[in-house]
Amino acid sequence: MRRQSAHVDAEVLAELSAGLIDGKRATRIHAHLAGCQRCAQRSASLAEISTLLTSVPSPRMPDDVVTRLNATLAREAAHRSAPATAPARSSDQDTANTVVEFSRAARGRRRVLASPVAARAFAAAAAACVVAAGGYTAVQLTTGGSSTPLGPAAANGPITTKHTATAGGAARGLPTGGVHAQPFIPKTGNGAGNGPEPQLAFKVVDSGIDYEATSLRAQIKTELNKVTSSAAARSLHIPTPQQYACVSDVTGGTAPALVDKARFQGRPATIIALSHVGKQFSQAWVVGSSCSASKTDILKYVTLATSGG
Amino acid sequence: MTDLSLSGLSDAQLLERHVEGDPDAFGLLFLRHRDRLWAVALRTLCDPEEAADALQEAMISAFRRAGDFRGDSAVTTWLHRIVVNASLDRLRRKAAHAASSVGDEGTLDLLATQGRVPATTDPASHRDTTLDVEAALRLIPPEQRAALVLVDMLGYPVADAAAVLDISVGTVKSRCARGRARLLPYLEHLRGGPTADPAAEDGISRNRTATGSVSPGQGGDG
Repeated sequence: MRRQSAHVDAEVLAELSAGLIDGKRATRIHAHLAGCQRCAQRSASLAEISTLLTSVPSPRMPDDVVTRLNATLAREAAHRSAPATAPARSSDQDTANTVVEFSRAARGRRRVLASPVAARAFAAAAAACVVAAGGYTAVQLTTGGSSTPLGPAAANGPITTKHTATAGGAARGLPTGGVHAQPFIPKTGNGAGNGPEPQLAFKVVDSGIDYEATSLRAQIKTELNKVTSSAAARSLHIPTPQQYACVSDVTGGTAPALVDKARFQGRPATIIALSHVGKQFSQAWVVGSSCSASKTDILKYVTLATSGG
Repeated sequence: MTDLSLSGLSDAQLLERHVEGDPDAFGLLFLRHRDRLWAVALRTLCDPEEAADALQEAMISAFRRAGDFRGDSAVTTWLHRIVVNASLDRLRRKAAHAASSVGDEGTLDLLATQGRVPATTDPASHRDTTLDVEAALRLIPPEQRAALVLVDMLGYPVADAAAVLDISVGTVKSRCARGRARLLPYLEHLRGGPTADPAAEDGISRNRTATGSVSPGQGGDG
């Protein structure tokens, strides 16, 4: 065994294996390896690392994740076909942001403004977008005071009423997720009516329960069961505009089965749960007290297995 | 549930249909690739819940940004990239949080508890191997892990991994090499014995269930 220079460290050996080292340096290391049992051994071990990694089987996506993601995509598809999206007013530059930034915005699982991409892509929805834009104008008029009257909505009476009619008509029974630009829509305003049912008719339970992270699913299920079994025994409140906006944004326009003004880990919070009627899937959110259309303040999101009893 | 007329379409055609407004096209695309996307997210994040969250973010993003896809890469590459970015972003956020509260001690605890998952009692059992590899993967930097997940674990060509990660081929190779070197002390016991004693020389293939074949390009003889 010839005497060689210092042993080669693992990183260099790995780089050599990966073809990242060449020329004289590579020759020198090879020469060392030829005479050094220890480094040759280490090099062989390194090669084994790749084999080891390859041998680990790839997991299949678990069923609950499949279900959840399918539900997510179904919701996206429903939103997309819903014409009552907010107008495409952000610039293309906004959407040119990185995926990372975008996903940060979407992290709260609430609907973000319909992107210009979506608006551009779906020419089929163009007519409906005009309706939505009309609604948006009304909002601007409401806030902007004495702007130029752009439509009949500005002419007389409380503008919000007119706007409600517009938004309700645009909704056509589909989820009206773009609540950013919409004022409070009373649950009576279900508009043109070829949709399945009035949107977001819900009342708020005020249980005062302190939900705990560890038992959240069980607690929500219990409360959901109460809703279906003995609704009459509970005091129910009509949602405030803020609650309404919050819930519709959080659920993406799906009517919740349970909205409970309660506590979570000791803090004031609202529990929003979807029912699992007809579907095998249910989900719930815990939102903080500041939840509104512009800030959903989601503290926790859980999926509820429906088979468990 | 899925429209059968879509099933014969390529990924690119499906994405096109989706952009045109087809409500089922993206779902089918997801169905085709979900297991691999899941593997990427799970192996990169080392946590099923985090992986599910990241994948959900990524799929929402992909769904909405499909119109931005320009066709300069494969649809699968694009999907993988979105998933990897969502996963790495999650890790960075977590790291930022952890840095303010835990610091290095947390890492040391992790090393202490997970660095050497005992594998001596039931050598080379496949399940133990998986657990050990998963534990060891947690201990290397996320960027190296992501590269190794794509190249070594999922077997993607280096060029594909480079496209997914949006880095050069050389950088992929370098990250993989460094990652393997980092993994060595944690996984060496799986082939040679519990210690990294260089005297244990002949146990290379004995404890391993694998055929002993070495991945292309990984031979030590250059």
